[in-house]
Amino acid sequence: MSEPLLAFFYFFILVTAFVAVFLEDLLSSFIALSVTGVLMATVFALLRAPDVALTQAIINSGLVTSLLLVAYSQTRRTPLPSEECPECPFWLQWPSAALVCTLFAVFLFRGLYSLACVRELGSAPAHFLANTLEETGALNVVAAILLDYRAFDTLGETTVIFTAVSGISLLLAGGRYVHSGRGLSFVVKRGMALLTPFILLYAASILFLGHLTPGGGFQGGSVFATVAILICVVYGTSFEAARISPKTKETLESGGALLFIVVGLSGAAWGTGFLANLSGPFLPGTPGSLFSGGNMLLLNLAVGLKVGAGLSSIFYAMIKILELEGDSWQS
Amino acid sequence: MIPVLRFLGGICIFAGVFFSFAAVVAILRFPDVYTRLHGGTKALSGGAVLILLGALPYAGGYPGAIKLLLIAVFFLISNPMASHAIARACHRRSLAERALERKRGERG
Repeated sequence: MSEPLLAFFYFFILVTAFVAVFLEDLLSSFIALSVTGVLMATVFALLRAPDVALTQAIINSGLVTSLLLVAYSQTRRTPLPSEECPECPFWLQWPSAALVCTLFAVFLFRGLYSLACVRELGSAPAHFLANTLEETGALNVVAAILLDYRAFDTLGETTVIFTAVSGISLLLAGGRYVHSGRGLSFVVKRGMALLTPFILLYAASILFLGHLTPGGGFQGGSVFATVAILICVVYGTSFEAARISPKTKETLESGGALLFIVVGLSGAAWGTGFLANLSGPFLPGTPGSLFSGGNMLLLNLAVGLKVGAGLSSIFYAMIKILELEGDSWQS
Repeated sequence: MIPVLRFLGGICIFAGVFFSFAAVVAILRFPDVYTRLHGGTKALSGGAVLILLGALPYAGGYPGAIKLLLIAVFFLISNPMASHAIARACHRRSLAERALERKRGERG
């Protein structure tokens, strides 16, 4: 492991985090934050955690930045000077931010120190690394833990996304749809049309090979949502809503949840318990092939449907509010 | 053959680093949106693509090299597109007429 390289990256992560906190301009803060996300993804990849790196790269530098930009276009450009904000006490402003950044730094470099020491695996990680292939039939240990050993937790996580989507849709939708937005210029539309099939192929490969290679339902679904967001921005929301209507997204999201629960209940019906994999009705298959790992392919598909449809409908609900108040988003 | 290729790759990487450095200087020093965009585009078109091409001999075999080439092609398609969209948006909103220097003067 290359500790000097990691220390270098940690230093720049801290610098960008400080810059994001202390900049006056919100837009510059978002850009600094997305740089922090990209550096974190690089660090995760260096620490040999490609699943986390993939999630970090897609979510933090793609989706979160675009959602923040939409929210930003609804707000004031610079924050109020501190004397005009009496309900926010002094200690809640930069001292607490500096404290959080310092704690972040301490934990980062503490982790670097413990990386340099000799490590011994605990009993649970050793068990997972040794027995995952025969117990679940999956090559990707992370996917096996998420979708087999801890599948019930994953069901809870997808419920969190469902709740977020419901809340944002309730708050922002308003029930009517206004046809507006002509999209960007011809060049961008043609270029996007050229790139979209490749991005979709990449998303599908992340999603369906989640039990073999780094990736899985969450990451693949996020890339699908990114495609929907790009189409929303490039072609205008009316085009996006005509191709993939909000109703279809709702159906896909609920279908994902339903698929997850049906897969779980089929294990219970077999008599071995909720979300039982190989002890239930599912076959291990040949290790390394597409149809292996029992129910993991189905569960990845369910999570991907849920995350992709959910995140893209969050973005759609937010951008629709923008277009209700004048055609300000489109250039 | 391989040492020659690696030498050429090293030259490409140095050229890419030079382009990226020049782009940073351009973004910091140029006066308005269009010239800054012109400078900033070089960071990807010239810098990142040259660095990827320079990394080809170090990729260790064809699979890695083909991936690097595909990333370079992706950059070459998407980067001019993004710059075009930004420039067009600036033009539409007539941000360009308002020189950045004046904005700085108002704020500071």
